[in-house]
Amino acid sequence: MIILGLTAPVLAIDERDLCSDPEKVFIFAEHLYEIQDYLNAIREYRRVIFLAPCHPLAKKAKLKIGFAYKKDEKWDEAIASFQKVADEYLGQEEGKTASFELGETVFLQRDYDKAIKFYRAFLKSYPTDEFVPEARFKLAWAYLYNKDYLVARGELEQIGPSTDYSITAKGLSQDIGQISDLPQRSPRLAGILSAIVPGSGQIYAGKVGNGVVALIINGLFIAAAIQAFDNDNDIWGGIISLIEIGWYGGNIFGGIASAHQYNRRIRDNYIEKLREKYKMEPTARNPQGEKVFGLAVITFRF
Amino acid sequence: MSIFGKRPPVQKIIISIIFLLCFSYLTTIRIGSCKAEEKEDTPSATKVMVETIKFYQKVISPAGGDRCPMYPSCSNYALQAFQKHGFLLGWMMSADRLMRENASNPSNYSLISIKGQLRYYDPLENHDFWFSRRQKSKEVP
Repeated sequence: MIILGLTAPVLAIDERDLCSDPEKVFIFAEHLYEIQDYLNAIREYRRVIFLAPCHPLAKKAKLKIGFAYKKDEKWDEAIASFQKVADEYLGQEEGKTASFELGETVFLQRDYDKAIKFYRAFLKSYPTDEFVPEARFKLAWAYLYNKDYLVARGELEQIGPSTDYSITAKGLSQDIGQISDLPQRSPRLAGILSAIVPGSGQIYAGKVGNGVVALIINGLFIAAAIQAFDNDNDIWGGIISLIEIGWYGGNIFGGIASAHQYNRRIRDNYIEKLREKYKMEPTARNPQGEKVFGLAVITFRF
Repeated sequence: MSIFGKRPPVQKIIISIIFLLCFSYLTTIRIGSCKAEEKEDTPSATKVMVETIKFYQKVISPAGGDRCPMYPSCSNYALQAFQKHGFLLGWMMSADRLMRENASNPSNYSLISIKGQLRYYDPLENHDFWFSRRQKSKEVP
């Protein structure tokens, strides 16, 4: 009893130390992060910030909150956290990482418009940083996904010759240049064909089934209208003609849209091949700045 | 009953089409609201079509049953088309969709599960992407 009585306060002090020592709390938070218990990790990171707001670990904890939200696919919270760190620690290591991660996070969400803006903001704030070639390379991909091929090539050409990305960027730029050589269908010709013979525009753009249906429906309605007018049933003829103009307009629209869809599909397939060729996977960067490939894969939208 | 007189059928069809185009033009003229504070953005013909589709969805479609193999359903697609692009384009897009409803080219669509049923995914964006302005993301630095 006496021994217990003597050791109990010591044990209690140790426990208090553990709870109030920011370094130990940070280590515990890191452990939770490692075992993918992100929500509890975020709680512990917040504890570090609360216990020692001026401690160097507080900066790291703020950054890691953003990473934990990102890993947990809570995109809005991740963006808000990274944005806060990027603004608060502008010009510092944490601010730089957060600024880059803003682009990475929205890139993962496939919001390429936002990714472009965030990568641009990173390049503006850190123009001579070692991650600039990577940011520019990602920026080029964002433009490529947005079908801004010329701008994408422009970004790739700005990647310096002595970087890890120089050879890849050159090859990708050349491959992007070949997009204009891909087989295309003329939307104008498809529209004209559909106007002359309903459904032929769709057939020209590779949608044979749709073309045949358009031809049958338009043919039947035109025949019915002619029949009605032939029988001096002008009211029915007028009604059928009014409906037919809808089918006819829809058929022309369908022909033009089919050609556009054909062109888009060809380009998308080509870009998907490029993505596979260049193993384009969003990089996940841990707070130490190491790159970890293969954590997530972007699949292209069709 | 003849209201066009003794004309060839093709001529009568053309007259009907011209009539329709004039009618469409007149009905797409915006009508000012009686109430000054009420914002009137939707042209009247579009409004009529939108209300007709809503009536169909509320009254007729439940009686007919769930038949459309696509998602969004043809009525929802038409509703979106009229609301987004107005009367003429909305009408053309709706007609185009109805002609594709049989999904005669299933390879062109991806399958999506809606309430346990597989549907062909065919959103409006897949057909108006080439003339509709791309949605810009919210302002970020």
